[in-house]
Amino acid sequence: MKASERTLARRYAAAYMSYGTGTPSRMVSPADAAGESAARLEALRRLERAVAPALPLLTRPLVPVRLKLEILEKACPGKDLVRALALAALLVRTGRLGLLGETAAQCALLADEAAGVLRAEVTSRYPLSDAERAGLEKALSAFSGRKAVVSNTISEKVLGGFEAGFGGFLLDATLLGRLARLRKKITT
Amino acid sequence: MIRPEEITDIIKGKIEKFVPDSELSELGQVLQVGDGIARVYGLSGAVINELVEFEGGVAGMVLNVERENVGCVVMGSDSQIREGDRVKRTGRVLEVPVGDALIGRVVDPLGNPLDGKGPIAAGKRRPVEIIAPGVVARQPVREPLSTGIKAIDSMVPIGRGQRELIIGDRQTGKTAIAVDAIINQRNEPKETRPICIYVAIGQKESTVARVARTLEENGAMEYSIIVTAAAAKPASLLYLAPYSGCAMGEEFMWNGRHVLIIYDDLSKHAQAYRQMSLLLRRPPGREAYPGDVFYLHSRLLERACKLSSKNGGGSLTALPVIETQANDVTAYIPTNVISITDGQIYLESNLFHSGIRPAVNVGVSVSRVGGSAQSKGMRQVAGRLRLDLAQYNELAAFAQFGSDLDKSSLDQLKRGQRMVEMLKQDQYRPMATEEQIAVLFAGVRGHLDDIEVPLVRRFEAGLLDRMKEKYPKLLPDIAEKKALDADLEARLVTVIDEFKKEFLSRN
Ligand SMILES: Nc1ncnc2c1ncn2[C@@H]1O[C@H](COP(=O)(O)OP(=O)(O)OP(=O)(O)O)[C@@H](O)[C@H]1O
Ligand SMILES: [Mg+2]
Repeated sequence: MKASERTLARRYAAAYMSYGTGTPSRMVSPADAAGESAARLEALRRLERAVAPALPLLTRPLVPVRLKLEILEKACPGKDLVRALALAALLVRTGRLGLLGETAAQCALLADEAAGVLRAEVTSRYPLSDAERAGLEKALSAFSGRKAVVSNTISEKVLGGFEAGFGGFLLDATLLGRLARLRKKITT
Repeated sequence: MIRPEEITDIIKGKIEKFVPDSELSELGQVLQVGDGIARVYGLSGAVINELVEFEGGVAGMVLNVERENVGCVVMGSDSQIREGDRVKRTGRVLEVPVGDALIGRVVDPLGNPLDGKGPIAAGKRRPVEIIAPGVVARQPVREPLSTGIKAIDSMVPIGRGQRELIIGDRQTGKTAIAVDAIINQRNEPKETRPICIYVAIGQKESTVARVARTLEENGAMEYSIIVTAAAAKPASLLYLAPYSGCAMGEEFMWNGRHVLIIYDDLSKHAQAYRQMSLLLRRPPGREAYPGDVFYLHSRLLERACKLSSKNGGGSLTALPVIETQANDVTAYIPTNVISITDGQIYLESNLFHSGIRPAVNVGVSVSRVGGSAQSKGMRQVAGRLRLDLAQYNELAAFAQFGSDLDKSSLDQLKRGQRMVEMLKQDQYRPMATEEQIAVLFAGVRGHLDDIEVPLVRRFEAGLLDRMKEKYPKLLPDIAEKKALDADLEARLVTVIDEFKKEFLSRN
């Protein structure tokens, strides 16, 4: 993905999440803002699932826009998807429906932010125990001032230990990382 | 030779001291990579010039900080880097190893050895980019830096801490002057001998190899470092080379030692920077160079200086090289660098091809600060030299029309021809200052006027041999007194007369 595309997706996401809510800090209470964000994200996810089968058609340049919009509307009946549908229609008209997935991902980040949630992706050699998970969540909450939610993937690549990626940071406590640091120390 | 056991011990020590720790780093993701440039998403805390590390260990340097992404140059091969790879911030600016361990070595701009002589055990590192020392940390130039080239030491004298530009078309002997200047430092006493750093930017590997071999053969490698980023290396390394060479030199300078650094050449450096800037989509300006190309060289050359005595009195003398196209010094990069340096040595291809080598055009070459550092003896003979040559050049133009000249003009012409001949000098034959003084003395006092022009150089060589054989105290005395007094002049005249009588009878 190009840098410019991701930037664009981020802007679409920001617009979609804040459209019609006014300035969140002044007009909406934090709890309301979090609820609204979650609802909008959920709507976008549903739309994403609904249009998935038609996506090859919708992103093909040769199909006329008018037809694409019709397909889109047919795919998502119901009133509750109106905002998400408007976003999708905008993306279709500008020929950028390919950004839908990335836009949704960016919306998820914004929703997390609104809810004060920090998502941490932990990769470890063996599954985290409940105590380990709780400890990690506590430490990360203290570090970031947000409520940490840890998800866990198992990978042999780390050799041992774990690594946690969260909010643009990486905490590397894997055996792989330690060995790499040792090698660097020896060779320089 | 390093013994295997020693290496094992070093490694053991390092392993023992290693504390396995977790590491927290700011993480980004490669969005796009190509042409030695990577765009990285995230790293919102990164600052300009910060070092980042790509997955797999390749280093990069942040050059552009934009909304939501940063533009980095890759310091090495970008073929290992793929989209989606992780990029770590290091929180450090780029550093290179410095210190005595580098002397005698050939390294790349990151300080990695290229000469196959094993790893470099440098204990210390210095940031590649620093702000140049301010006014109070410096003092005016006051010691000479001899290049061993008659035309330069006499008429374009360079002082320690000065920045003197060597400028000329391709194949006019620019590199030759720089290399001769390095070789000549062997004549300096060991305590004050400058450490020489030759920074090769965008040169052919063969050229760099030749320079390395020449320095080796002339025993100059024992006080020299070669930093090279050859033409086929990524532009980022070419860009980095002069700054890292300068950082290596600064370490010596701040320890009170003297340094001579040669940037060969800054035209290619500017081109590498232009390439990077265009790929980073910075707006192009004149000749497609980015707007800050002046700053590119000014911040580099400002780092050359003579430190005040309180700071140890070390110095860093810079000899940047610029290649011109068809003698055009009004192009963008030449004018920029001319305005930053303390003087220029102009080399001209028509002089070079008419056999005047080194092809220094003494009429337009200047040194704005070196004169105050010139030794008194040299000043005594050189003052006349410049005048003689200027008058000669004027008359030579007249003489071409075959017009009748009076006797005094003919004498001038005769004198000038011999001076020009006398200033010719072979490559790799730098001369000690006292030898230069002796030879120039013979010239400016008219002792060569009755020698045939083609024989002048033979006479010069013979005269020096005679002095060394028969009057072994004469040259050391000149070196010691640093000036010509009546006694020394009389002794010089004696040898010259004696040798000339023999020389004329033989030829
Ligand atoms: N004083 C000299 N006497 C005789 N030959 C010389 C002298 N100086 C340089 N040369 C020769 O001239 C040629 C060009 O010299 P040199 O490589 O130093 O020039 P340059 O300006 O650095 O060239 P380039 O543009 O390729 O970097 C070389 O073959 C060198 O041996
Ligand atoms: Mg050259």
